[in-house]
Amino acid sequence: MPFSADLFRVAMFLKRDRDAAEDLVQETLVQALKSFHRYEQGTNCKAWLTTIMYHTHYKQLRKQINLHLVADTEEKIAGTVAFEAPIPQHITDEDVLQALEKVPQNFKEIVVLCDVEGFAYKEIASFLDVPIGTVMSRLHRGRKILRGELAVFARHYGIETEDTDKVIFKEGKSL
Amino acid sequence: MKCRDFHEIVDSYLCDELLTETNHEVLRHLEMCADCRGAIQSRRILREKLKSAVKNAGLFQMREGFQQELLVGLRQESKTLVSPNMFSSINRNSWMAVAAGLILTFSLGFWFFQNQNLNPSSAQIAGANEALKQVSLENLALGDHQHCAVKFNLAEDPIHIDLSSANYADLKQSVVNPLKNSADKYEFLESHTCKFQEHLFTHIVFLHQGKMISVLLTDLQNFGGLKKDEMIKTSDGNYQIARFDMKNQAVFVVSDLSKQENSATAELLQSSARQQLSVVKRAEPDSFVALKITH
Repeated sequence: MPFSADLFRVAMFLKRDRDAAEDLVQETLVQALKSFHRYEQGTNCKAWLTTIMYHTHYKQLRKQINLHLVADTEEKIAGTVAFEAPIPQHITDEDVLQALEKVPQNFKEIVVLCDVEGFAYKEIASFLDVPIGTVMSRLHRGRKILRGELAVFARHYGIETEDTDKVIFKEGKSL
Repeated sequence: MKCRDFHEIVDSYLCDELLTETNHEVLRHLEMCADCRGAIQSRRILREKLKSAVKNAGLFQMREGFQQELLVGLRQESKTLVSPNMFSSINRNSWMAVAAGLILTFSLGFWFFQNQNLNPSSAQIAGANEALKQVSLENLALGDHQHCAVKFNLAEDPIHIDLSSANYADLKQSVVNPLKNSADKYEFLESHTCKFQEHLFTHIVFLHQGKMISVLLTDLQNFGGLKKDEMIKTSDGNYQIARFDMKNQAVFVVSDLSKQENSATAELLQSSARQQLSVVKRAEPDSFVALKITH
């Protein structure tokens, strides 16, 4: 099935549970099949399917009684991040995933959609039904938090960071 | 542009989301500022590492068998759905096939009688019939690709290749291996045996350059075979069809890729089949040949 692996990755970020993610992918493809006549040939099929996935996800969320609302505190936390970290060359995939895990869901989702799945800002705005400016600001903050989390690993690998964009390596080189 | 401004927009620059003029400003700034060149390189590395970490993480990989379950579920679902557009599209395709068949029949007939002064020999009649059979076999392969791989809409459910006979599994390997080992990226999607208009195909589906490509194999029994190393390439306007023969099987490669890309896949398979055949011939023991002669 084309794009099913991509859809599954996004579904895992949305659901955080394998069974729920599989159900979401299946439901998305069934919905896509039902409305296949609406798909315009030549347009981005992956973006079309992801839009359907988001609609389906929101529909499922609305049905749940304990609807998870995004807390304002997440935005406040994001605003307090002050420094930029370097990315050590030898950082592992696990380090990156651990750092990503610490990014609040609201920002992480957009970082993944943009930097991993390669969607344009406009497409992400359409999935989330938010203005493009919101996408840009959340993306900016999400990436900043991610770099901040990676700074922990940078220190672990022997790289010092400052509270500015400039980074000083122990050997005296600056990045 | 100052370094602070650059840091605000560097990610948008990497995402290709800036206006052309701003891109030029970024490039001008990078030419002059070594620190920012380092910073952009650092951001690039982070993006690449993030992408590979997420895409390779076991947590985000689909479990084995989920693809197959999805396909089965969608096929069942598709049987309950007959949208007006889908229906009209099937009708349109059927009518196009009938029209193409009629035009071809008349064209062949016209050419045939024109060239033979209304006095064709029996061998020529047989040749024309073979040509018509091949055309219809190609139409069947095209129909199978459209209705099985693309719309999941066949009268009978396909049977997974592992549940079919061992011969089909061998045929599958002879197709999957060369494409898997090729430098171009072919993502194997699924394999099964299926029937289109009562004609049985071994059907292997790949994803190549974002498009579905079908390799369909069918028994040559009752159909005329092609000459050795011959390849037929045709198109119905939307889809490309390439055919060559392998032992007792006709092999079709059908897709909506460009003619060149579709043919390249068929040529890759044909070349691999030729090599396999030469290996089998070399490996055939003398005793086996002798046994055949005594029979």
